Amino acid sequence: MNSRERLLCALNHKEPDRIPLDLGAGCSCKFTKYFYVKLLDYFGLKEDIVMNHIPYQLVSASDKVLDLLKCDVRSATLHPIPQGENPYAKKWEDENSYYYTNNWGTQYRMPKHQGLYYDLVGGVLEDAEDEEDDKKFIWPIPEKFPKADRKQLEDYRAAGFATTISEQFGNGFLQQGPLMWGFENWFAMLVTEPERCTPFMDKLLEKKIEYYDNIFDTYGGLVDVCCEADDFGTQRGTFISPKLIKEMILPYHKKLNDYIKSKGASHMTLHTCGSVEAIIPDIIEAGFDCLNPVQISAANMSPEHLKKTYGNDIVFWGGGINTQATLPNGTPEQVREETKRNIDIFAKDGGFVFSTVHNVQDDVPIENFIAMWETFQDNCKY
Amino acid sequence: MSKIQEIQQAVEFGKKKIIKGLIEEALAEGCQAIDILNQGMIEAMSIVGEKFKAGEIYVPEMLVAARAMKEGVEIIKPHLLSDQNTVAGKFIIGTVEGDLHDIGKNLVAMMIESAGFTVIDLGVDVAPEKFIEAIKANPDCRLVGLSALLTTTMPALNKAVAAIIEAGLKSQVKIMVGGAPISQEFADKIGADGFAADAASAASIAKELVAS
Repeated sequence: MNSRERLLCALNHKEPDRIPLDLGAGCSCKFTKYFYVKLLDYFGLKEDIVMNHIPYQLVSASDKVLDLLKCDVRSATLHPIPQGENPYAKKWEDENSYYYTNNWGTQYRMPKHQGLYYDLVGGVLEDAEDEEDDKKFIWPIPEKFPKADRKQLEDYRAAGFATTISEQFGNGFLQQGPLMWGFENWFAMLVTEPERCTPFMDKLLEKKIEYYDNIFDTYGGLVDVCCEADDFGTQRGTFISPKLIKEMILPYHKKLNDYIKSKGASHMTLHTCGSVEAIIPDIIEAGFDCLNPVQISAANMSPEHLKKTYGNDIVFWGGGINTQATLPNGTPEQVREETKRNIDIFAKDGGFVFSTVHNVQDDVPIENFIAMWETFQDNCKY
Repeated sequence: MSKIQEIQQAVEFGKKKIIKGLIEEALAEGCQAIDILNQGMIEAMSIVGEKFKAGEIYVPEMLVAARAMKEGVEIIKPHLLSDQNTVAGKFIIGTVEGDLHDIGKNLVAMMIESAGFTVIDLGVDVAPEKFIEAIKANPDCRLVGLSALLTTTMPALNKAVAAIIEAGLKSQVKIMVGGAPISQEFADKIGADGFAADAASAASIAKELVAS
């Protein structure tokens, strides 16, 4: 069984020869820059590090590293071709911090001293008071991608790897708004002024479809899995009521998922952090096949409960180890125990792609990561 | 329904636009400003907090209730007697050094304020000495809340708590901590007095800690 057959078998809820592994490729399965440096040191490799995601400081892991880790999934390295001028995008710095504003007018800052991430400073519509103000927003134009990039996925496909596009146009239908109006404004608007939210989400759907048209213009026929990100969960439950997610947000995802699948991706993943147990049936209904990163440390998200209740209907892409406690702060022995326990629960009958719960952060000791990886290798065979 | 009950309902359901009119009517009817604040608005937010903890309402409903309360407090403030301004006491809050996240911290500040505290918000990326400075500058403050969202800034939370203790300020303030990766166990380990898993619980624990 090659990597692609293995992944597709698991995604179709059957047991492959071994559990497919995704470290470094899929959405929220990646490595932060300083952790990746530790990994390169461990393998005795020297590389020019290619960044994949600036705010979270994530890298595009090299094929060499992914081969050494025996990963089954490969992600397209996108080289976006900007379409027209964007009025918001800029970069600058002052004495203490690096700054940039993205195409959505969202400003980020990273401290120069010990800064590990760019964090949100503010959105372009934070002072908007009504629909008229909202309309002043100048939408980014979805980028196109060079046709020559097709070769990368063709080569991965020929080498037997499963392929994914793990980047999106903006954030999700729930979570793009906070980046523009500000968290509190947007979340209040959802319940007091929904008439300001729906035109925005309508347009976002239109633009996301245009984005995927551009993606499939370049990569048509070569993408197994796409991923949309929309964080619905907090540590203890959903941000907004399950009813509102079901009625107001997920119908947009359903339309987008149907469209993406009509273009040839066989499976759709939803990335959502937090406790989302209450809406898993609705997530499935919206056409998502896989859930990532499966935050097992959040309320009602225990591996036993998730597998028993939803294991036949959704694939758990993640959930391998708790990245909020065990992976950064446990002992290697605790990491081994938890990894083995989670594999024992999630692996049965397929429907499981092993990955960490979210990207591997800078504070993860290399010995803990290796303890997890070795435990996976020792226990991944069906 | 009494005017104060109407105010309570308006805050609970986030009816910000009608709050001003209701408070003016209540005052005209002879209601005491302090009763409007305590029995109308703070009581409403206490109900909101309980409903949030019970999972009956979510962040947006809590937010709009707090915004309605904030609007109401602005209107009622000039009518309160000078010694009635701070009902529950002062609360210093901030996100620890190296951590720039403020969504959770702001929700906590909002619910604490809605419980009747005067909140002194030091913002994000707050060095331990800034917390110490603020505590010393407010000798009547009995509570301080520290937030960390990231596993990578949990050590900074530990450091800030240790610095406050080392500065001898534990006789003045009780320390509350919170943030996604924080647990009761971690809070106990670093010497904090209280841990809250969410904004509504933070307000309840703050009230308990000042009462104890």
